[in-house]
Amino acid sequence: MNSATDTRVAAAGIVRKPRPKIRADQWIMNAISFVWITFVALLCILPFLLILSGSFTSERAIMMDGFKLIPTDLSLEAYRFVFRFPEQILRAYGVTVSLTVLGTVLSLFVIAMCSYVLQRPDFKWRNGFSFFFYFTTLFSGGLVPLYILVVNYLKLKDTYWVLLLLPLVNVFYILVMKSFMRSIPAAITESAKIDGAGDFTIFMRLILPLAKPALATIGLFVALGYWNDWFNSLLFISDQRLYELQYYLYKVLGNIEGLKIVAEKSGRPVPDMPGEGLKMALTIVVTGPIIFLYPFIQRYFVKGLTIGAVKG
Amino acid sequence: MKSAFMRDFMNYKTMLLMLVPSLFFVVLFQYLPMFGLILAFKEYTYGKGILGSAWNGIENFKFFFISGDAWRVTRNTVLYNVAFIAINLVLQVSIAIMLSELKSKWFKKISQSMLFLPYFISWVVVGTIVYNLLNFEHGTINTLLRSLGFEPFNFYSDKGVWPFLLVFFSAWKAVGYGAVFYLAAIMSIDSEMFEAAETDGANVFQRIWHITIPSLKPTMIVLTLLSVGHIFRGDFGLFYNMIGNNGLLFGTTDVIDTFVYRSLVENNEIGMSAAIGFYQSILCFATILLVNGIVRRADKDSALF
Amino acid sequence: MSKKKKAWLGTSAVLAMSMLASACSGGNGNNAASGSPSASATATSSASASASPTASASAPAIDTSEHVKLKMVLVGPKAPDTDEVYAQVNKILTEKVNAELELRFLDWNEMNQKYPLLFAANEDFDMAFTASWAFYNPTARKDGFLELTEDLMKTYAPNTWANQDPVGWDQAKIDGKIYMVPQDAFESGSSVAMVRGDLREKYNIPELKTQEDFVNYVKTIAKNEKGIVAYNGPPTTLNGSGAPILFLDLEKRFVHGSAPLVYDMKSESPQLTNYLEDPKALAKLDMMYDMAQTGAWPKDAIVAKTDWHAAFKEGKMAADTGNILTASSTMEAMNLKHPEWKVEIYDLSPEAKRFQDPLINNGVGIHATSKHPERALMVLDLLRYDRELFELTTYGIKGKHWEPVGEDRYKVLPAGATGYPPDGVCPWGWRTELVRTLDGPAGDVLQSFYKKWKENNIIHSPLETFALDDANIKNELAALANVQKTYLLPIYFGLVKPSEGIPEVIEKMKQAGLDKVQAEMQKQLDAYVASKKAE
Repeated sequence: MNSATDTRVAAAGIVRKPRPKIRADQWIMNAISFVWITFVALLCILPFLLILSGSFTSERAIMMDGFKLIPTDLSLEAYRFVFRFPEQILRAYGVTVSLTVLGTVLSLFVIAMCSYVLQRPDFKWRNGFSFFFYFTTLFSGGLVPLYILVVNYLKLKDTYWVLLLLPLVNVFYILVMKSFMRSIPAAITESAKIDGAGDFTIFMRLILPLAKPALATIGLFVALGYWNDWFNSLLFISDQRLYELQYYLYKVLGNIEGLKIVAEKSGRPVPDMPGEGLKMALTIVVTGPIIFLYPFIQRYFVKGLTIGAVKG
Repeated sequence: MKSAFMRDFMNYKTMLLMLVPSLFFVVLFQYLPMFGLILAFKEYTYGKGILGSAWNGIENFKFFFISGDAWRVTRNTVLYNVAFIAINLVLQVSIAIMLSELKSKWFKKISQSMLFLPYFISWVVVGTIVYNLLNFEHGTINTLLRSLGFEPFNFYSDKGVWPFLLVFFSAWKAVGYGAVFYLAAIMSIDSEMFEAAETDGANVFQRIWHITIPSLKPTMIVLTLLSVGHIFRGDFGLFYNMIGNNGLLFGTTDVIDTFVYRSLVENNEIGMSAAIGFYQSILCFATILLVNGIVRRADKDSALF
Repeated sequence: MSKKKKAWLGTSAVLAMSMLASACSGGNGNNAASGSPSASATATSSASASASPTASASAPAIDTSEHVKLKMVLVGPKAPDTDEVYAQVNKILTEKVNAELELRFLDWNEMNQKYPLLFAANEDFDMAFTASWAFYNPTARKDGFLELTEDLMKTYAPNTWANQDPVGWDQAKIDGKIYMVPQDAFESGSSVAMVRGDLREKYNIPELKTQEDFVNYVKTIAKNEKGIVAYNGPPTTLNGSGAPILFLDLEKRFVHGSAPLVYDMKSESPQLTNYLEDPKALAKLDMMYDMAQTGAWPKDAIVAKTDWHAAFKEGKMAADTGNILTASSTMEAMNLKHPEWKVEIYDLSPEAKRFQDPLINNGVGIHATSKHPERALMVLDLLRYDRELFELTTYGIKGKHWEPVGEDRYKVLPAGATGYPPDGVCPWGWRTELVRTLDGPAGDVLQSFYKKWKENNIIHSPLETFALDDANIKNELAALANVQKTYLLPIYFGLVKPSEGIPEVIEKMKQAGLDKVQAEMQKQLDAYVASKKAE
């Protein structure tokens, strides 16, 4: 709040002494930060407002006038199209939410455990194992063998399992988490070891609570990964009851294309359908979690939650 | 030797067990299908399968090299990635530090959420918006220029401006996403260190320079190394949705992935795309071995492996 | 990702081809081997009437005691009433050949990924929609489809074997073997131009007769009419079939969309030439450059994300080009909403000879590892020639989704538009002369154009059925495709002066192996022509 007032004051050109408890350097830093972040944030929100407005604009108006910040010709057509089959989209929401919750918890646990071990200085094989994990981000066999493996050998086609398990271990996050965990002093592990605690107990009792910011961060990304997944559905799911939200929306988009192709193919007039507007509406529909989830995650981005408290 | 190994093994028993779940999934979903790499050297048919198909040497790689553009697109890919890595690093770190310095809670919360929004906008939609901004006849920018009495600028035929635009949009999309990593790292800095600095009379800038930035180093290094590991892979969504079929701009905007897409879109040979994937992997592998080696020399524990 | 669908220039047509020719020239000479000479004889005589009696007549000879469930892969979205329609289909199929169909749909935006994977993993399915633009060639060459021998066809799909235009079989041949049952209905994807009659009259332009007239119209609009886009320019993808409308009168044909090599349609022993070295083609490019300079299309048309057909419909564009099927329906829709615009359709090259669309533009293939290929063929035979099944699968339930108008027209009922769009749930693979035209002005326009073209313009040539074997030149074709998009496309859009750009394109193409491609193609063409003559 302070910085906001200060900058406004500065901008108005009113000369006033900064409040005594804020030092000059802090004041400058605050002003720079406030201005710069406001600027970047505006760059980020402006296109989004265009999209929001576009999603409420009739297809015809988009065609004629392009995108405007205020809808010129208000229309709910795009949303009506997205929610055409409410029970289907509700089910897709259900699948995605449950996958996101379950997947994030499991994935975080597995990743954190792995990262903790990989950064333990007394674990001599840590580099070898790290390399073993990292190698998979460089080389990949491609879609065909993965598809054959999942469908023919693991028989996971059209199962909830494939959606849960495929994204479960992401090597990228293991390596980032590993670097986060290094900021937890090794002394904590060492002293606990001397007290006779086992590695797993140390991890559960001491490390996990200390790693909250790291867990929150990686958890956010894992959750977004599950939330945004559509490709695994595309590959492995044909049972409508298991569609993930993003895949369902992807199919909605495909249906529009399909209707156009079909109209062309059969010589019937192309029906009036939201094309561009629909893409915009889909963007809005999938952005939901950041509005609801992110403020929640931010609770963990608070200074002073860390070592100090434990050390004593 | 054997006994030393066994002794270590017994020591590490629990830790190894803790690795098992991750190892299991990585072996299952990454290493097992990896034999598919051989497709790059085969003439694949459904009837004979991956293993049974006939070998055809380096036949699958040829299309990429005979056109004479292989060097150009490979170079473009690397240069773009270097720019992305550098700009993203500076931008994300600075935004994270600034956010952490601000006191106003509501401002922090709202601005952070706003910074995250671009992550949700697909490149397809970004491409549409950019076209609406930049096109010659009705683009917002040119309309503005005209109304102010300036000459309109034809963005889509000037290949000089696109490297900047592409770097800009890449940075724009990743800024909120990437800043979160650094913000989390800042939050993990022992607050006693800040208090000590305060008592020593350091000002904000000294504190940031001497405490915050050094503490962020491991995170910076690991994120940079992870990006370096993909330095020969172009972000297809970004390049394709911005540039599309506009050959006029390819000179400065063509990367390996768009080049291969254009070549194979009409006749997708699994072996050919596998071949270029392999080419990229090998180059990435060599690069990361080198860079990681350098980092290891300087700071053993910051290296990836 | 979904660029492939753009290659879709095929249209559906209705006028039945005369099948008499097929009966004489086909492989019917030695039908003793099939053991059912009567079957094909009856089928040939029962031209468009329901052929089901024939099918059931041949059925007893084949053991259908086991009830089988056949899985069929189709493309496009699954319409809401599909299950209802196919429940009826299955009832009939069970009665006739003791089989039923289970469908699996691949949406347009996922089929490029998924279609090849289904074959790679050798999944359990029996038949699949396929087409020249939908994986036919690569799948067949990779042993994905069952070879359809004469024996198989005669025994299990006798009507198909007897009635199918043999041109279709020839087009489907890959190294002399057939892997799909092509459609059997006339289509022509020739481009026509649509213009706004009101604007034409406003500037006193006479009715368009030639390409020059069209160019003149577009230029006039570009110069004088503000706030409207004159024309959207050439297509943004370059391949043989997508060549712009202004090239139609050259009467040249591409062998492969990735190479600029063409031959004369009318020639008996065609020689390949590079059209970029043909002064007539270069004049066209100059004409387009000229158009671009006058602002005939937006400067950024090459990257435009606009849906131009929609723009024309909304009155934001003054001229549009496309195949006659789309054009006729667009005209009808626009005349309803804006009769004052007086939309007109013109064939800009009324004298130009052209081929009909390849019959392999739609078809059905049998999965190589299907457990019931015989039954699949029997079902396919019924879908193609049993009127009841054909109309059910193509148009939906009579009286609910559609209703017939006379012998060869149909009307869409309200429930059809969303529940089961007639001719929309991928029935194209088994399209035959049983197909109907949409009732209304669009249908009239379509039929009159088709009639005129069939009388004056459509020619047949031995090369109509030639299919390139790209095994030895895959790399070169991929490289050439890239060169075209990189260096040639900007010339089409008038962004680079042809006289300056073309030499560079040719040089780049030579570097990418154009000469090798030309030699290989010519060799195959010559061999094909020779083999045809030998027959």
